[in-house]
Amino acid sequence: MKEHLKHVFKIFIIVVKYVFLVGFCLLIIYPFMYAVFGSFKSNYDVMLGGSIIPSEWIFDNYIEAWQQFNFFLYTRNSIIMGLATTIISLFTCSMAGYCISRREFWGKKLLEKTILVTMFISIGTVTLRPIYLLMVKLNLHNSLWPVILIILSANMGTYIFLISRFINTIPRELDEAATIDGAAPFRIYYQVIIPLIRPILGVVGLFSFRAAWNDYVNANVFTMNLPNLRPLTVGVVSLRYGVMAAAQWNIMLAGASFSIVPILIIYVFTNRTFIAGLSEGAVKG
Amino acid sequence: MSDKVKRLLKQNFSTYLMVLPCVVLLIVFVIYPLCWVLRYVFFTYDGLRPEKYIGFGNFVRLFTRDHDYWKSVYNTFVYAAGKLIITVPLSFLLAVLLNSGIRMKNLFRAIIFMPTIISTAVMSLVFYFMFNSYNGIVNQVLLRTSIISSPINWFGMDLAMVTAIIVAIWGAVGNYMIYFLAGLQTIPEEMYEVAKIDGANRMQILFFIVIPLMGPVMQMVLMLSIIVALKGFQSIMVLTGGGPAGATDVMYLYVYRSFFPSQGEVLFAPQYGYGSAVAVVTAAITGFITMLYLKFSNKRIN
Amino acid sequence: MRKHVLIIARGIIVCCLLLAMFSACTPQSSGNTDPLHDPGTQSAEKTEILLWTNQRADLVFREEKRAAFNNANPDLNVKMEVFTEDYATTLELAVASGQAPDIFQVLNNARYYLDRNMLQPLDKYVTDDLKQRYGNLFMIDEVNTIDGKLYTLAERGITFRLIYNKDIFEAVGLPGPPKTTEQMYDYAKQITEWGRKDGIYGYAMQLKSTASVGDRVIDQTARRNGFFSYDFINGKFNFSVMKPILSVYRKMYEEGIMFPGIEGLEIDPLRTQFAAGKIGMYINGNWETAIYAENGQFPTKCNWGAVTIPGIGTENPSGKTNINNAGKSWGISISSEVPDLAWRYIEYLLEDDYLAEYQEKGYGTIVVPSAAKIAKFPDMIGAEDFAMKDTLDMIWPVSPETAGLKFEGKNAYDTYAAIILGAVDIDAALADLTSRYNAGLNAGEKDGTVKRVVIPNFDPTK
Repeated sequence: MKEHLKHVFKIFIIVVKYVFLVGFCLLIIYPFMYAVFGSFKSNYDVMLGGSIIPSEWIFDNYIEAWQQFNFFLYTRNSIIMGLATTIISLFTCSMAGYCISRREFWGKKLLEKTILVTMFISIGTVTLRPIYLLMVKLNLHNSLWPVILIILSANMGTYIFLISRFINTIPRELDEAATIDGAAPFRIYYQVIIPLIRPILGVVGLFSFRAAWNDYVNANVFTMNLPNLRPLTVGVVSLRYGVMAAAQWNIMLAGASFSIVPILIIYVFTNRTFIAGLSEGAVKG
Repeated sequence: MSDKVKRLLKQNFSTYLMVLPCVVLLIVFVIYPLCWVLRYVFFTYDGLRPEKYIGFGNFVRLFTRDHDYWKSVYNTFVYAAGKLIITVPLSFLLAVLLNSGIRMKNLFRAIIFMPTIISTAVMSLVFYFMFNSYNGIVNQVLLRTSIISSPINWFGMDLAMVTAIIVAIWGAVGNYMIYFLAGLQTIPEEMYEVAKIDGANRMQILFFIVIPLMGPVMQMVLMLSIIVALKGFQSIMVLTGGGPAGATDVMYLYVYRSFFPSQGEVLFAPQYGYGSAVAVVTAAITGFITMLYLKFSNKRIN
Repeated sequence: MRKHVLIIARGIIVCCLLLAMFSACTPQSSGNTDPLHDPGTQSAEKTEILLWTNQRADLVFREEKRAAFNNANPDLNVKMEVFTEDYATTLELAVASGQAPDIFQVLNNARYYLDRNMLQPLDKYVTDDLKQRYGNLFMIDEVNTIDGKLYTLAERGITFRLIYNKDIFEAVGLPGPPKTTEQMYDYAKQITEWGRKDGIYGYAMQLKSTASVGDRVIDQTARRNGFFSYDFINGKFNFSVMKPILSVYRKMYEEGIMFPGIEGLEIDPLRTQFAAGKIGMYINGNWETAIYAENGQFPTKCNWGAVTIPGIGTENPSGKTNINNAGKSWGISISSEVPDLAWRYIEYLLEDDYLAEYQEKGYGTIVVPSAAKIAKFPDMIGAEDFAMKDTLDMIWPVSPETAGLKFEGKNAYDTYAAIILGAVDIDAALADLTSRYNAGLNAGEKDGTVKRVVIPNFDPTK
């Protein structure tokens, strides 16, 4: 009898667990669904909020967003920003990570300490003003480069940290073997290390792309008076004050969906990597 | 020069070359702005007229006359506390649940983690629509199911901070859950076996084995989340812009406004000197809290 | 050897990608508005002139006329850009980075632009004909003229009225639009009680933009009643006079009479709701005539009207509201390379015919005397109501807070918002404002950055 009760209790607990998890996941997903489904509704439908599924599916919202609101430009800018940040990130951080992990040089301790400190101290957005002034002097303010480089520098510490930790786990014998063969440091880096740290490079790449795709404040400041250079995030939020803003929530939702769906798709295929990357940092940290 | 020295130089030369981009970026985008800010702390500067040296004047003003700033500091703590108190236990609970042999674990994990990869600014916009008191879906659902009888003012004086915290929790739970999951997975199976053999039930295992073992991970998660919560302002910026009459104004948003003050058509005179002072004090507060936490948690671990 | 080739190959690919991105990032002509194109470059045929405005309400009209001008002047190509959000910051950033447009809309008083070195004086373009057309609106000191130099010219003026939904008033059985603030409160209360279940509320304000509400609603109500937060006679600030106005709105908010969510409400969403018949009253300017028209931004089927802003404690207030933007319109930026050509377009914008058409289509009221004489009022709802009347509207003198005043802490508009929302105590907040603004005025006067305006026999009731 007691066994029976215990058994029922166990099943009960399992059911509760699943219900809780499923319920929670629904809560998490709801805003996404609201945005995506809403983007296919007519504005009246969105405001009325009957059911989450549109009563009739309207695709014009996307066409209008694309044409009227320059979403092609915004998307292009976001892609450029994302790719540039990722590539430069991979280059810079892997080289630096390698040097920190494997090589001794004067100033290494200073560099390590500085990187650690910048990871924690954050003056935040205040740095935007002096950087803006500097960019004007260097005549770089007409492009997205300042934004790319700012995003890069902000996260550089973390990536170098991750990469150097990872490289630490690669046995030094490989290095030594290569050195004996007469290889210069750069070659060791390029031919020995890089292939072995592909996993962490994948993580850094994904994180960089995400950071660039999702950036808002930096891009906002630098593209305020250059609407053609705005990435999706800035474009979507600026819609709020646009012509149709008040009256056309459905188009704004289309814009928002536009900016989240690509990264979501990437996520679907790479979520293991994202999560693995975070776990790396967590456990080894 | 001997061959060995030549080779050493050559080796180090390429090393320096490899580290160069990183160093340049550091100097230009981190050190230089920091110095700029530190310099103007002792001046008043409005970007038009040459700066005027005023010694500690900015700090005096900040500590004696600026009530709005300290209100924003208070708001930041409320925001951080509210976010942490719910997020950390919740994400831990989720991690434990997912680790307890649930099927479709990967699916759940992927879904709960989704919010962290999305742009906070864009999703805050969506939440702005959802919580809109007149047309928002949240109020409509609540009204229709008769849970409330008149629309709740989610962005009003009382509730704006609550709404901001809700959005923050939504975005953060997945992140911390992953950290906890990773930590949980380092606990070897044998631990569970031994405990079961000793006759411990699940709750006892949880409290006496798992939680203590999670100590280091917990410490790191808390530290990260404190820093992130103290610095976070993008979502608030889009959601409420600092809230009705400063109800959701947080430190870093206040700092941002000192440097980019604008109200659409009206541009109030910028005060970079004062803004720099505010920034420095804010960074000091953040750093201080972090150090305090580290000291406290280190003591507990040891 | 093969490995070397691979390395080099990859390096080249990466470099190409980077170069491609670099070129993609740098200025490109795409689309029909191109802020990156160097203003005023002499291309083979057309000289480009770039114009910035922050007004969306009259965009359609201005676009039409711009196209007409371009067609009539094949050697010129005028481009227009609209920045409603953050216009001031955007302009400031553009000037700082040397990308200012040729012409831009002048919203603040001249000293603001002089301090930042943004405008060119227009004196060399002034003709006798122009002076005659403008009469005594030609040079208004501190508004468009400083030290005898002219920086912009008058064009239109924005009058402010209380806008109300006649259908709602009828349905509730109210005798008519309110004449005093007490009536306004009372009527709003009745409307909300009557219409709450249908989502209809008596009063709304766009409190998300505190400056908009502070200037258009609070300040104008004060002026209509003959006083202002700056005491022109004695030359100092006194914000406690604003208490009666703020108390009314505070009470409305506290008692839930106001439209829900005003703290996050912007003017366009407000207009949308008004057009949908959900709002009883609000105070705003004469843009609404064109906006609620059939081909406007928010066409409405409601019967609406506009009356003068209510009095405080009297049905016949004797003050006059300010005509906003009067005396300011367009300016030529100091960095423009084609000021003469830019002036040609400004001349076009200020032609009597252009201005008359602007008014006749309901976009606003023209103040330029020569144009106002020939312009008729359109047969659109609101046009008559918003028309400038000597008894209701005047151009107030410039007060220091719009002429370079620096002060500490929250500005007046944010404080008003805080008061309305019940976040601070009225008397304490107003007293604090007064002392801070006066401190700033004294300091500014001492180092010569601000002029203390004193008009000993100032009387806004005349």
